[in-house]
Amino acid sequence: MIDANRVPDVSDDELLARYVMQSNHLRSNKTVKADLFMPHPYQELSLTRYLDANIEEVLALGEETAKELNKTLYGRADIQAIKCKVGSLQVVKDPTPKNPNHANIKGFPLGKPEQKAIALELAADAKFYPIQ
Amino acid sequence: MITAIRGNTETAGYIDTTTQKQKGYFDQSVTLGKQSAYNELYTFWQECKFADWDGYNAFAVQEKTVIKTYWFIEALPLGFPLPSVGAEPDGHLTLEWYSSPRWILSVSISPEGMLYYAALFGTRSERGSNYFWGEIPQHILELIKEVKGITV
Repeated sequence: MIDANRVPDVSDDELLARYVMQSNHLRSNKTVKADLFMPHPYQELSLTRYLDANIEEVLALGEETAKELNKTLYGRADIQAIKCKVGSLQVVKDPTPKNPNHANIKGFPLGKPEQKAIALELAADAKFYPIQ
Repeated sequence: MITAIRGNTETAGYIDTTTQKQKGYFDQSVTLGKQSAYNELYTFWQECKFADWDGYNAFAVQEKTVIKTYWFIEALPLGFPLPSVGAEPDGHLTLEWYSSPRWILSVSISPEGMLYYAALFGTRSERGSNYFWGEIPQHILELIKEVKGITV
C-alpha cells in the first residue's frame, strides 16, 4: 500500500478500482452499468488506487468496506485514471486512515443528464472483475 | 389505469378501449408481454427500498417512483424491446436499453415523474430531460430504436 506519510498525486496511467456492492450494477454479460458511476448524494465518486498495492490488498479493502456496510462485495470495476478525466472531472488523492490508496473522482456537473452522460462513458471504459 | 384517448369522440373511446383489451392479451403472453419487466421492477425494488442500499449512502427508492416506472414500461409501444431495471443513488430508478457499452440508452425516472436520459452511440452522446405525462416522449422512443437497431 502507499506510504500514508507520502501519498503522491494520482497520475494518468494509474489503475483505479470501484467496488461493486450491488448485484444490479452488473449486466448478465458481466459489464457494469452506468448506475455504478453516478455521484449522488456527493459530487464525487470513491475509488481505490492500485499504486504500491497488489490485487489481494485492493480486494481486502473492498471486503472490509463491504463488511462494515453489511453488503456483499461482488467484485471491482477497474478503470484507468486518464479515462476518468471526462469533461470537468478530476481524479484526486483522498487517503483515509484505513485506506491510504483512497481517491475520488471530483468535478461532476450538477445537471443530472450531464452526470448520466459521464457515467455512461466511465462505465464503458471500466472492466469488471468478479470475486473469485 | 392510464388511458391515452387521442380525441373526444365515441369512436376514439372505442378504439382506445379495444387497444387496451388487445394490449392486455399480449401482456399476458410470454413472448410479447411486459410481465417480465414488471417482475424485475418489483424484485429489484425490494433491494433498494431502504436508504444506503448501495453501500455509498444512496437514497431509498420510493414507491411512487416504482409506480411511475411501471407506467413508463406500460406506455412502451407494442414490439418495443423491454429495458433492464436499475437504480441510482439519488433514489431514481433507471431503465437501460443496451447493445454494447458504447451503444446504450439510460433513462432515469424521478419520484415526480421527471425523465432524465443519456445515450451513447459510439463517440456521439445525447442527453436531456422531459416530464412523463403518461406517454413516452417521441425522442426517447427514437433513441430506443437507435440503440436496438429498429428501423421502422
